[in-house]
Amino acid sequence: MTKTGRKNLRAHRKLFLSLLALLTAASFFLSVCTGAQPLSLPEVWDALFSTAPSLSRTIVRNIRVPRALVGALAGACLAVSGAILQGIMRNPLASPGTIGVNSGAGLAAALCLVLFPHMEPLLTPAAFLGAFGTTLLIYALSWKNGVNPLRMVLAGMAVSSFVSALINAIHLFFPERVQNTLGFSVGSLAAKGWRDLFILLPYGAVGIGLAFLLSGKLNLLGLGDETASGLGMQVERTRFFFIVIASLLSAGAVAAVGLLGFVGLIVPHGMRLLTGSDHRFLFPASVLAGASFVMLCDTFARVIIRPAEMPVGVVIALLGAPFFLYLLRERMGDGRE
Amino acid sequence: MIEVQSLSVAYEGILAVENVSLSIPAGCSAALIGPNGCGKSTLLKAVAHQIRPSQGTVSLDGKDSTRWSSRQIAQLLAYLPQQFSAPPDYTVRELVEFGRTPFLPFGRRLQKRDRQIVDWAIREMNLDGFQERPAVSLSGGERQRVWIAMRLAQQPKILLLDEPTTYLDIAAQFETLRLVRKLNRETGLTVLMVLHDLNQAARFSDLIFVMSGGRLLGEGSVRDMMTASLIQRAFGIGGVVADDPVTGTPMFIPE
Repeated sequence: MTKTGRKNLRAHRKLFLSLLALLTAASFFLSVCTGAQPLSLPEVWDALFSTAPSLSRTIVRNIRVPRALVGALAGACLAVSGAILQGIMRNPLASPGTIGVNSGAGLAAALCLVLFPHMEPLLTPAAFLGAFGTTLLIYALSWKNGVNPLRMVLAGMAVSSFVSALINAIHLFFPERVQNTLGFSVGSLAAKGWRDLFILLPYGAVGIGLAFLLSGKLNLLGLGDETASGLGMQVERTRFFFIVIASLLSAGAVAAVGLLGFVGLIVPHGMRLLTGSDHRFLFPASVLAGASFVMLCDTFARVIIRPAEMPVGVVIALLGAPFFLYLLRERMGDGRE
Repeated sequence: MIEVQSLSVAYEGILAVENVSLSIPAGCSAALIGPNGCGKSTLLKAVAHQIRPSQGTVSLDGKDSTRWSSRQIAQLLAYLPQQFSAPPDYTVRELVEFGRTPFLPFGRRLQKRDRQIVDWAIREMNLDGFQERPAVSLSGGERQRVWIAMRLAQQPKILLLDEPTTYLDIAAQFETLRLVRKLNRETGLTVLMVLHDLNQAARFSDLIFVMSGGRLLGEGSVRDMMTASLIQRAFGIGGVVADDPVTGTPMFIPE
């Protein structure tokens, strides 16, 4: 039954992408309507498109829209980063969270906050260097006549827990700065504004753009190293380039909103089950689903203990872990070797 | 067509292939045989330019190809490795289309001519009825033919196969070898394959190369290589060679 279900969905992949786009738009409006002061859709519409000054206009334009957009873009970046890592490692357990790219970015960002508390423009470049440095370290640790994907996942898990320990140590030694760094280990969209969006935008645009452009190469890499190189691909060089793109995307997202671990794992995994392994469809599907997922989780995080709000990272972890287990069970049932 | 000169390959410091020279004329079907771990797969990989030799040269089509780019190689030579995997949802046709990769400029989709070549490759491997099926739903033999069809879509002059019949049942083994032999005869495709079954090597090739301990023990026609003494030397197993009652080619029967 699942087999025919998937076949039908493959035949309607474009329709599926359109539905995902609708879901993304709906999530955006739901997110903008929700908050300490609930607004109706017409009110939001007025606030967006009329010029008359009002309180709701200020709330919508300065707080809710940028918050939703930062969440959407961060979700899209993490999802594409995860799709790339799962593709190059041919392993559904790979994601910027599990192989340590996220925590590398988090460590660099935490160090940056502790050492240069007032240099916020340094944050994203530092996170990128952290993510990239961690990835290089994992790459080097798993190198032996080329990189074996399984070795890379295992090395990533080890490095990831080491780096997490360092982040905890920073929390312990600089408790007065914990206020600042706590957001990085949990991941939150609270008080995110236009400035955060503009910091994240170049990373997201370049990373997602390159991923779309090179999706065919990632498909070829999915057939195995020997097949890909037999068909004329420079396997190690291509894989390295994709790792750079994945770190760029995850670093941008981590610097902007902190650690949102499960997004890069669940979203691309789920989309792969639904639309198949062709990255020309998987990337756009991951962008839309990642954006919707983070906006919906953030909306939920703001209403569940109203008037207080929960960090979105907590909601994602609570929803993400069981959903991931469900996906694993589904996948085990469909007979893939 | 394939010219290997004093080739040595070291794997993690151990010499897997030692000073091998061989030559396979165009349009010939050749088999590489030898005991497990004798270096035959390594030699095949070096001919396919999948690994760099530590010494010696490989020439393809009369030109020294040692320094060619992997894309240039892929336009002339197709290589089927022993192990491969694919995402479970690709259809047969989608997989065969990957074979056109070395000919597509960056960002270019398949053109009409590419699709015709894919049609041809699918037809040659008897996969017409399976085009839209996911490759995982096929039998082992059908799947092996998909992977060979992907290589045919490269329109290679040289086809290298690493143990193409391992894991297949006897009917699928013979169908695979027959289809490859037919292509070799009809289109002049040069074939070099690693085979474990000596009798299949004798039946489906013109030339046999015998390897042992990283060195070439013998090379020549099927009749010259299929002798009890050479097989005893290479594999350490005694037996007799008789004519196969069906095809008349030599057949080895262990004692």
